[in-house]
Amino acid sequence: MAKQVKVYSTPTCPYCHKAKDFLNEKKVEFDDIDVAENQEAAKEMIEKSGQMGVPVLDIDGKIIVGFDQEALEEALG
Amino acid sequence: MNKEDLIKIWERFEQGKDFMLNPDRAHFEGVADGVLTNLEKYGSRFCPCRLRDGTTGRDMRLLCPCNFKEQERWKDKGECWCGLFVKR
Repeated sequence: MAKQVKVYSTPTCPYCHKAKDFLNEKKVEFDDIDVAENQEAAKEMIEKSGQMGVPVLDIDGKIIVGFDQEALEEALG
Repeated sequence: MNKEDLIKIWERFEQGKDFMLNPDRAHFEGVADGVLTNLEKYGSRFCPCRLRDGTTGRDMRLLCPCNFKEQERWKDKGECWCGLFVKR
C-alpha cells in the first residue's frame, strides 16, 4: 500500500522545493501543505515536529525535519 | 531593494568570516527570492524557511542574516537552516 506523505512547506523555501522535487522524481504522491497560508496546518506541523522550520515531512507518521535525502529514502522504503 | 542589492549585503556580511554564501548560486538566489517576497509581504527581510509567530521578539530573530551560528543545524551540518551560509 502506498505511504501517506505530507509535506509542510512554504512557497519560498529552497529546501522545500528540493524535498518536493525529490518526491516527484521518485514518483511519490504527497499532500503539499502551505504553512505560510494555512495557520491550522502550521499549528499541526509545530505540534508534530516541535519546531517552526520547513520543510517538515510526515511519512506514515514518521516525522522528518528539513530536507534529509537519506532519511527520506529510509522512510519511503 | 532588489536581488542584487541583497546579495551584495550578504557578500559583505561573509567577508573575513568562517562562513560563506552557499557555492550553489541557484540555491542562494532561491533564498534571496524568498527573503524579498517576505520583505514585500511583511515589510522585513524574514527567513523564508522558518515560520513567524507574530511576536516581535521571536520574529526579529528571523531577520536574514539571522543568528544562525546558535542553531543546532550549524553545529550539526555546518550551514544555516536555509542553506544560505555554509562553513568555509
